[in-house]
Amino acid sequence: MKRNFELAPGDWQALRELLQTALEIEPGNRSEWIDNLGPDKDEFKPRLRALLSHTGNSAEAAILDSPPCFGPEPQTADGEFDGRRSGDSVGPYRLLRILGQGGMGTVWLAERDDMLQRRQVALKLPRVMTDRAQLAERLAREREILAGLNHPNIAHLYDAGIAADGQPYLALEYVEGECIDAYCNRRQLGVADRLRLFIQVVRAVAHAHANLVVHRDLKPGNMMVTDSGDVRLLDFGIAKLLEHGETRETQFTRMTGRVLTPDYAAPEQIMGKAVATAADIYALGVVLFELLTGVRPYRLKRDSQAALEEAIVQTEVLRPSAAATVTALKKRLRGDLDTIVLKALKKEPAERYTTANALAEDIERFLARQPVLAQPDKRSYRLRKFVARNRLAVVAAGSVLIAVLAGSGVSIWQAREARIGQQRAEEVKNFIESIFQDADPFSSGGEPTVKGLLIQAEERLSGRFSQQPSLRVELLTTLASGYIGINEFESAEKILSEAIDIGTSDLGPLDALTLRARTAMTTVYRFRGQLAEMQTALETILTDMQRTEVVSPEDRLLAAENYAHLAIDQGRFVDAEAAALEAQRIALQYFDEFSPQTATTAMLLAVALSFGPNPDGAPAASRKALDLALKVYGADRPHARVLDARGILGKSLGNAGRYREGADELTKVVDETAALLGPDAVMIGFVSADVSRFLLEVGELQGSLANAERSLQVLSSHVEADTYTLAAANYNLGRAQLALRQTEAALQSFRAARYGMVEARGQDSAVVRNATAHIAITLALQGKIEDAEREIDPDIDRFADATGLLKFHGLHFAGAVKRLAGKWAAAEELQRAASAAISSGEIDSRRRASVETELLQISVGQGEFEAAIQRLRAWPKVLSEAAPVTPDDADRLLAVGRAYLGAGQSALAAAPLRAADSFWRDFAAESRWAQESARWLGECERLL
Amino acid sequence: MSPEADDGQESAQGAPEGVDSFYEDAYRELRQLARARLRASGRNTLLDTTMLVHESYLRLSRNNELAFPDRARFLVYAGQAMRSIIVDIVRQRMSERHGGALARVTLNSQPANGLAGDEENILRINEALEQLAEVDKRMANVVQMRYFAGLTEIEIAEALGVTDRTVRRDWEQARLFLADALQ
Repeated sequence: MKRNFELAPGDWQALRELLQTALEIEPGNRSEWIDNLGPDKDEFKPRLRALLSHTGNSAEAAILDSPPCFGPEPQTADGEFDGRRSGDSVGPYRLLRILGQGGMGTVWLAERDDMLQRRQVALKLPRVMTDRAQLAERLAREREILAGLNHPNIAHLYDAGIAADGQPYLALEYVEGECIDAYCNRRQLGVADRLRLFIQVVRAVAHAHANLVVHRDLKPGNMMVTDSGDVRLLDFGIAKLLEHGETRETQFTRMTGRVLTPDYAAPEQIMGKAVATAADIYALGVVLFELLTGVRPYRLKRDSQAALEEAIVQTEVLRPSAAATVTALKKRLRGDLDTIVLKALKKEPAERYTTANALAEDIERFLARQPVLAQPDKRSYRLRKFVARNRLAVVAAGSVLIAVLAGSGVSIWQAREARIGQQRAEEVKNFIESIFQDADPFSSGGEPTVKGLLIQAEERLSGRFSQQPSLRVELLTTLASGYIGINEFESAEKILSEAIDIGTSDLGPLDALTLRARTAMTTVYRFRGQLAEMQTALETILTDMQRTEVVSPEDRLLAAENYAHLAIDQGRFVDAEAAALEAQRIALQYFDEFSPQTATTAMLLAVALSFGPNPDGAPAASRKALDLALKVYGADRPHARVLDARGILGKSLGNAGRYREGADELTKVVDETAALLGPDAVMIGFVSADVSRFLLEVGELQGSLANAERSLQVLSSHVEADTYTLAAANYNLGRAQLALRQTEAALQSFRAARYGMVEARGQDSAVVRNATAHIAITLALQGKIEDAEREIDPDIDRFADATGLLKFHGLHFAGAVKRLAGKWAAAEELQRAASAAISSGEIDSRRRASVETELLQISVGQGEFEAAIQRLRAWPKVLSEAAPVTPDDADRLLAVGRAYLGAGQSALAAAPLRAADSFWRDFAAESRWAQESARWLGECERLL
Repeated sequence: MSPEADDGQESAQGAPEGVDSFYEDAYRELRQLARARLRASGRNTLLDTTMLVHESYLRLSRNNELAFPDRARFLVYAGQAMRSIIVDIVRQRMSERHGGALARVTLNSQPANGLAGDEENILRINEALEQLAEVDKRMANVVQMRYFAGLTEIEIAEALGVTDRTVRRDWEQARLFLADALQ
């Protein structure tokens, strides 16, 4: 190992720079790049190659990606395991020495005590927490079956029972050897030898299956190879023996963590479905995959059990040849071995090899160079899978193209045929299918992407159908919709421009197909934020659509919807409402009352209302949209559009100041999204952020914190650190932490937020100044007044320029910093400005309380107790009433108490001071705020 | 400080040199948390080092409101501390397990793969890291903080006073250098 880092400092630097450059090159081009390096770099070349071989799927590099992993805890006390030591008796067995230990129990080398049989056995002593009487009965029944399992490659179960002290035991043949993977690796066996060894395994499994015994937990650790090269399978049927039927299994797993290691579990096992021989076939597939490639069949985004389970159930497995890192091995695996392994690893049990023998036979055929029976997936099948996997992208693409490609768009297609004419429909369809006829996107190895398919289509389309303008316009527009669906607006715009040009000159501007292209273009404008272009185009389109009958309802609807979006983006909410109503009318006229279209327009209307001048009406409209969506998409299982609708409802409730209800709805959205798309769906990151904000408004700080943390965690796995999205998530987290007075953590979050906001929006932006205001108040709460002022002073005159909450936070926190610095006049001026920036309604009640508390504290701080009392009289509800649930509340009551105390009304001071004191004693008894509260309460009680 | 702490297993090594009493607290805290966590889980364990570091930081910052140093310094220190704690635990366990000969025999539900191997890898990474530190201190620091303490790129960046891009580059390269050394 020493050689690795024995380098002169200059050489090290040079090597690092070369490596960095290589890493920025496409993996496929790196080798060539190294070859082309000058001769002065010759000494680095082998090293670079070796280093780069660890990119991608290297087992060694993978070690570094997961946290340090420990084996089971070794013995607890001198020679004692689970309270037993060698020499002890268990049933008729005497323990000789420990062989292994784990969370589930211990394994001993043991000998029968009664001299009937002098053989040594491996004695397993499981820790069982469930009903022992039932276990005894079950052991007796299963023992008969398992004892009948006689096969040279299966370790024998001699005995099973329960000792006098209630300890269940299993006596198995003691096998000396090593696990199959270690055996293969230590002897560096080639592919053929590994396969021969593996066939022994498969045949043994087949024998067990013929006797109706399923292993359920096959893994290399259960496949021993003796010195003479014979396989012995351990633990047949024991997984089942230790379980207690399905329901108990769940109880059991809940208590002990999962019983089975998921690494070799089949999808149906993960999902808790009935397990049969097919699960063993699957596990054999995983083991074979691993024996052939050295890695597991799934690449995980994160290293966790949940991620693995998700992958087993949802992710298509890699092909072994794609997983292998060595070129020669890749070549050997490609083709039949890929096919064999993938057939064993099908998600659907019915699609796997029906018997273990069939798997063994296919491997034997491969070794004999005969054609195997398993067939590679058909292209159409893979395409279907592709569409299923990328459903969201495909749905977003809204593209007939993709739908037709996958053969799932037939109904859409048939509906359209009537309108656009049989012949042209045929031609469009033929063209699209031709994209796949010559170049099979799957033969090139990589997964096809939606984008890849579109680019392919675009290349094929170039220069064709110039004599058939309507066909060409139609295809171009379809292609562009695909690009819009995957956010490739530049390509979409280029293609639509061409479509509009051809359509306008050859078909006329009012032709239905031209209008379609023109309308699609406004969607491009919308996503690119080109509002002026969008407005001009839409106004002409809407006028033109009045002048012709022949427009497809979809396009009419899209134009109206886009106009509503435009008006929302421009802040013209009244116009937006009108446009949304128009869209709804179109939807009702041309589509079903309970159709996706009407649901969508209802949601649009709700959004327009919720931003509009009267957000109080939005929740009702949102509720209607949600009901509609539930009717259209069904309430029995989550659907993306239903989640959208519920999300709109939640947000509109929050925007209308009904924070608690809003948080409840959005929490449902989070749960359902997790059920539909998995716990790491990016949506969850955004929605949890809103939940966090709403809970903060009602003072539910722990809930707010938990949601902010979840939001940040989810979003960090989707977006880069320097994006605004992540900055906003950090900011939300900081706000919850600040409210909880976790000042050090809050400071970290706000700094991370500011860093991202500077990267995304530039140093001179209102959001950056807002983050600075939060950093300053956090520092001030830590007692670092000078640092706080240094942060906030450069920005202090700019806060008034901002709008909404940015304005309020800036002024309010700057004022608070100034108060803590004892600069009363500046503090008061800032708070008065902050006060003017909020509304008087329920929506801002918490902010009103904050401002009034600050003003009260300013009066108290200056010793102007009369003024303070005046203030208490002016805002009795806001200042004195609510019980303290947050640190800010306690601060408020402390200020109230001090005001009464200063004004000589000690009797009135007692209640608020006690409330503040008792809050802090529960919340953070050691903090300086707690000390301050205690001090003032003491003062008050002394006076009384 | 956690009452379930088990001083019986404290190693002779103690805290690394040159740290003040706060860091001694931190070291003890981290080690106790780590051991308690391993004991509670029983099975083979991915030690959630990230959580340990943050938990100990929160506990310590609550207890030492006044004398608490800044978080950046703490995180740098935590990397160093977690590394020495983990290596320490591994060595102790390996000697207790008589050379790891037991690990492969499985009770049905005991995940038995490569347990001893994983622990050996930790020691090998530690060794490689010592050599790496001689040519590139910062890169070694990044590995220490990320692999042993489970910190994020942003945390590491702030702790070391560099950008998170630098950290990411260091990590990507270190991964390759170490993988090469492990082979």
